[in-house]
Amino acid sequence: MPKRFKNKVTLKNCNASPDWFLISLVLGLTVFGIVMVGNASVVEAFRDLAINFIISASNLSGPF
Amino acid sequence: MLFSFVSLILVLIPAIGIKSLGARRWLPLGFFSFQPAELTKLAFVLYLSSFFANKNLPSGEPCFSNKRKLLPFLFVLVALLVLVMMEPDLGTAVILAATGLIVYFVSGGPLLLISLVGLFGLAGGAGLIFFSSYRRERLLSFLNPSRDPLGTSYHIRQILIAIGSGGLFGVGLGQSRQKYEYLPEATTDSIFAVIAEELGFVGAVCLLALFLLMIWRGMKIAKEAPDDFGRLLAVGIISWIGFQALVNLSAMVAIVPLTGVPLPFISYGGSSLVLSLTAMGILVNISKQRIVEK
Repeated sequence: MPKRFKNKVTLKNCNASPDWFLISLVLGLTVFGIVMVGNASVVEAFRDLAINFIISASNLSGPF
Repeated sequence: MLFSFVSLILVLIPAIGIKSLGARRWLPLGFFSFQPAELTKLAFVLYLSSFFANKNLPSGEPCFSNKRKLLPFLFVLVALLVLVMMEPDLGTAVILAATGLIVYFVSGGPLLLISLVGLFGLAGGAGLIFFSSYRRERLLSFLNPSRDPLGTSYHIRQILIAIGSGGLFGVGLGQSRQKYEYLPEATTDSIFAVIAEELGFVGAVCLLALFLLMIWRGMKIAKEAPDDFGRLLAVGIISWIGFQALVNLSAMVAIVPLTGVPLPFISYGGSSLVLSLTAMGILVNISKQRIVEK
């Protein structure tokens, strides 16, 4: 059974290496998220641009 | 924690908080906006871990008088929930309550008290749903997605169409059709629907597996933490991230009503991403101080 210290986290115990598996998971998910959000948001930006262009070009009024 | 309370109050002031899609959740900070509810999650976990760790006996055994722990904990929790519900943000309220109860349980809180608090919370949640017209509409749309296909059920129907169109291997990266005009909030809350449509069932399961692996590593770090504070903090952080992912993914596959919770690390949103990564940084720091059996 590992020994537990009293309630105090200090830098004295920084001997273990950080959890590289967790770091890789988090960075992987973040990069994947950036790719997916970029994928969707660029489309949204072009879509809004196209809608504004159509509205201004056709000079429409009313429900469109 | 105090800063979180102040910013949660500030966001409710009409002249200060930004209102969008019927909710007042953002504070304008020059060239970007900040969501105090995201900071509250991290501050709440830090506060609870410190509070419960200090209430424990030096030997590591939980304190016998649980009133000393339960009442202050409930007071802070209810105050936060009231402020968050006034925005309104039911999803964040559920995550805060669940994370708080998990940290309390790990600190040695008895299961009976936690069950009672949970039951009261469920009753309160049911009351909030039935006394609020828009929440009632959401619940009815959840129970019957074809009830109002162009109104309240539109969002969930488009999500299900996107996930269904993905099939086993998806339509291909960047080839989603639902993200063109049909799917609301494609970059934020509904990002999983786009992923499932483009990468299919296999991609969605891989994403789910990555989240499960992260939860497993977080729990492992908590188990090997050098003291109570580190253990409770690791459990609190991983419960928050895990529960948030669970609520978002459950809403996407229509297991629970839509709540507007972002998917951690994936959804667009500066406040959510910065604070999730900060929390993971703290978790990595705890992992550096772990006790390894020799």
